[in-house]
Amino acid sequence: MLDYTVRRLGVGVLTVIAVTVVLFGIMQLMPGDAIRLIADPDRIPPERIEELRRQWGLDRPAHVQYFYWLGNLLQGELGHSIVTGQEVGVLIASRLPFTLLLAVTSMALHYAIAVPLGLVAAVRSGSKLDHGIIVTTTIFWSIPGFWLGILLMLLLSVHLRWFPISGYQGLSSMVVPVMTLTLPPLGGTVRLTRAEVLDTIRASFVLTAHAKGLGRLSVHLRHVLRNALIPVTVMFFLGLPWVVGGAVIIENIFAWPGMGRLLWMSITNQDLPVVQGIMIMIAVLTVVCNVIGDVVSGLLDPRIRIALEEAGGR
Amino acid sequence: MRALKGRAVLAAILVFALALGTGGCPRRDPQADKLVIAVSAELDGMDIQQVYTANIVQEMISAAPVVFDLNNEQLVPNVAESISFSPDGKSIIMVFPDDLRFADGDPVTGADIKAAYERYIEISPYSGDWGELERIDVDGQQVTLVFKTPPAYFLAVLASMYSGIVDVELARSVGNEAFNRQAVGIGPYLLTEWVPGSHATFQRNPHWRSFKPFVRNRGPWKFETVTVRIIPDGLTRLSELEAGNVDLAAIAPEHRRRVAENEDLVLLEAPDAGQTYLRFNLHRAPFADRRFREALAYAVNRDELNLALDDAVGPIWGLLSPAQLAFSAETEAELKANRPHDPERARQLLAELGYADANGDGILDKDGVPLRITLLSTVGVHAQEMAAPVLQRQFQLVGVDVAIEEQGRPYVRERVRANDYDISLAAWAWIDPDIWYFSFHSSQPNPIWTSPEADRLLEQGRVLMNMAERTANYAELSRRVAEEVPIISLFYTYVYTAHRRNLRGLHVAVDGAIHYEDASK
Amino acid sequence: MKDASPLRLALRNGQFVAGAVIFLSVLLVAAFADQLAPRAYDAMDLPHRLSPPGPGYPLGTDEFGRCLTSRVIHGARIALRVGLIVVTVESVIGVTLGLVAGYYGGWADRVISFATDVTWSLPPIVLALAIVTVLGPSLNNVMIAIAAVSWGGYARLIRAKTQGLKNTPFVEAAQAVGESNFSVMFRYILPNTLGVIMVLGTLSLPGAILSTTALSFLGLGSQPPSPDWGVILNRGLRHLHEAPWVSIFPGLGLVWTALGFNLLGEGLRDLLDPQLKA
Repeated sequence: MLDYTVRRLGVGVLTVIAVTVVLFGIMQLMPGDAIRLIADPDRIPPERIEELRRQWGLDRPAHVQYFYWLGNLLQGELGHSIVTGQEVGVLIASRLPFTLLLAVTSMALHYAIAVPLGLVAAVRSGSKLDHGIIVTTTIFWSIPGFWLGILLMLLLSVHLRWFPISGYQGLSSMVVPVMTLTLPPLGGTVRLTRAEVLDTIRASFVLTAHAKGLGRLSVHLRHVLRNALIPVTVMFFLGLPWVVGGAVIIENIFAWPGMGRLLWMSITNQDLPVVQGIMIMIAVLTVVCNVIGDVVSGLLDPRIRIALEEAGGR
Repeated sequence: MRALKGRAVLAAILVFALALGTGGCPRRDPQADKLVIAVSAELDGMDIQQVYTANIVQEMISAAPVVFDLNNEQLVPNVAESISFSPDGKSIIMVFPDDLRFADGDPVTGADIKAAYERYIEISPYSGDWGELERIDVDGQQVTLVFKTPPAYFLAVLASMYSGIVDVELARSVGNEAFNRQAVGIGPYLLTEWVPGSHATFQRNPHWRSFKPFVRNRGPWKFETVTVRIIPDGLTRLSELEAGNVDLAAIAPEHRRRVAENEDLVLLEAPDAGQTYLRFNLHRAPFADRRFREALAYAVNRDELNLALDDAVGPIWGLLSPAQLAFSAETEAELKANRPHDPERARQLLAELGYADANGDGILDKDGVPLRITLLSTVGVHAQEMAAPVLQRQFQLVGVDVAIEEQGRPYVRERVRANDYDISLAAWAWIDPDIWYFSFHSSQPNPIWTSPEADRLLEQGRVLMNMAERTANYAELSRRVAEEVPIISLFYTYVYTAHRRNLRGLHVAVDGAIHYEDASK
Repeated sequence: MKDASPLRLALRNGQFVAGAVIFLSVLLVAAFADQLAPRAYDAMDLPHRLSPPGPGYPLGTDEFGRCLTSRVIHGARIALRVGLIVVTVESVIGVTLGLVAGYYGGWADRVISFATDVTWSLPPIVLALAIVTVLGPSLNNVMIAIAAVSWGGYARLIRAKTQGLKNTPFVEAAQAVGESNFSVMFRYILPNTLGVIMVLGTLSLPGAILSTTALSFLGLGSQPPSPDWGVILNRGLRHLHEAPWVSIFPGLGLVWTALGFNLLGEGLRDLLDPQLKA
């Protein structure tokens, strides 16, 4: 098992390195002087620029430059924003909590809704309720998240005036963005939970429990839920980066002051140091979550791991 | 145990959501000693000498030594006790009070003020403002700015937020990076908290004194704390204002009528000192020819632009808009009469240049090449987002096919700097006409267009201290530019602000600048 | 039942039929956009800007007084074209890499599988944003970006299929008679995977359309006068209060199209490759 963990960590580190290579490649493709990524030539005197050029090894060949860049990265030197001159690390640190708040709340709410629904659907499998749950969640699945966000904003904030329309005006601002991030992916999780629960119900030990004369509901809750919750927990970690990805668009609809909005503003302003910083941040977050998810699932039955690999695609 | 059933969970979520909704949203009316202002722009930083765009936040931290009076006619004292000019007109003499203090209580001497301006020259993106400065003399609390020539152009700089006085000693000790997050200066308030993307809160500076002659209250403001909330979306700002969670907010033009109908709100409307214009790349073939540019100028219909922009703009033909210094209504009327909307004239000029629609597709061509140009515009700037498609259609009506390319501001700036564009929408806001120096003077890195005559007028405009002479000077420049058409002036925008009716005592200048000294609730 | 023709089987599949009907409706709207649209999609009527739906303008007008009906209809054309191009490009990349990885194995397989893992390790929209940053905002660049980050699914699937087919007698026979590796891959193995490629292609169409629309919505894709649904939604957001119709109708078109391809894809999967069902 330790071996498996180490191997997953190794793949994780390799992935992060690959992402930095890709990002460095992107930086090289940008037109203009790469010094723009570190300092704004408009605002920094020429002597200082030359000094920075040497410091960042920009007078060396590309592969040497990459290692300089990586070295600076490892020391937490992400450069400065071209637009505001602020340190990229500081800028991201000020936005990250907002994004995580949104993403983690959405994920938690998502599972708080999806797992019971999946459980009910499985227990009543084949009933009208089961069909109703599956159909409703499938419809949400077909609605693009950003449009759902606009509709919810129109209904709940503009018309009913229950919540602030956008920006961060306290916790009540979270409700509509969280709903927007929570609802569309319900379909997938409800189906996964339903399938897991059905599998577990069919498993012999539950039948044994039935035979022992335990009540139906108590059987479901005690045995089924415990077994079905494990893959769902793993999915939480695997899914978190995807929710962060989704938040990039949703944050912009709601002017949420998180990383996604910063990313979008930096892209429209071609503020590459910030874009790079956020990309690396998300890559590391993704890889860390994947490793946790993999290791947790690796601790369990390999059957679950295979199921996860198939289901983890989206 | 049945609590896990779906319906119960949904009910629980709804309760949770409602609790959040009612708990956070309609707050009690803010108390009388709290002022809440909502702005749309995200803040770059708090140090006026490091930011690209100033707003109310930096003004509260670091105030300018002098300001324009409410009619934008002359300079009056603010932080400085008095302002005067030397007989030769080359020196600006400011006297500061003896007991002047930074907002954190540190005393301020003339040398501190000199240091603040030296730092402006050293690090600000606008350090070019000080290009004509010879030296700064300090004598106790008297600071004299000595220029090589009479600094007519500089008065607007001195009265702007960019001349706000910051605590250089503190900036040095904490470093520019940290200072930009926690700047301290001579201003009515001291920053207490800044949550980027959300809000900034300020504590009243008990040492503050203002010498503005048009305000009654010369001491600290009447609000113990001020909160500036960043609310990018216009509708959200309006709802927060309507709900009473905000006392004063910038209003998007499309919401101004709703504000005007609301008894609880007061709408302030002011023309912005600046303009949106179309800039030609004279380095590229069709635009190098004056007649081509003239043709497009005749194709522009400003009434349609007004309509598209919901009448929240004023059409403009010359270099200056009404809220700017040296504006002349007569010159504006003359230029308007000379260049009416005349698509027929535009087609005729293009025909003279050899363009004809050979294949009948509605697009003119010359030597088999269709006349296609690209219009560069800045994404996220509402006036440009609306103007671009309207101009596209107007140019198409005279046979010029236009593709719109919307890009982020720095990218547009980069492309224009590299002369890598056809035509571009551009805009700026600055009270002084000297802003055109950077666009038309031959000494500049990338002027739009130059001529010896324009150089002379621009140089003259920088040093003419007499406003009547200055107005005549820029009228002449406007005429030259209208003849050569290196740009097409389109419109100035109106700026809308609204406040709760219980907020009283605001002084509003002609260009919409708000003075809060006498304000109370 | 045994001798049921494929057509009859297809017609008995409810999802397939519903999906096909929806797809056909979108296809017809796109094909005859010029005939169906009441006006030119870029014709302005400034005095009637932001008019609500009514007799003159069935779905209302946008902020330039342009007919929203015409814009939504023309938007269908863009959506379909974008979806087809993205899916074609990503499937060509993914299938080729999958074939190579599965057929040759060894280092080629390891490198390709690692590359697949890397593209899968970042949320695609984030990776696409990075690419758009460099290439600059335009619809073509967005299509390139989306295709460049979403070939992983094809590569994995085709790799697995190829590994399975590699050792079947007919492939071994082809190798025995001296067919080149290229020919074996593309003439013997590829035709046997066309079914799953079609299913996967159809199922990834909605994703491709939604992703490009989302990027256009952020202002990074299609440029303004374009009736791209994402662009209309982007500009509509500003007038959500005064003119909600601008934000509603393009979204309905999007959901309709996505739903059609989802149903069609699921139906195709049932018909062509029952094992694919999870």
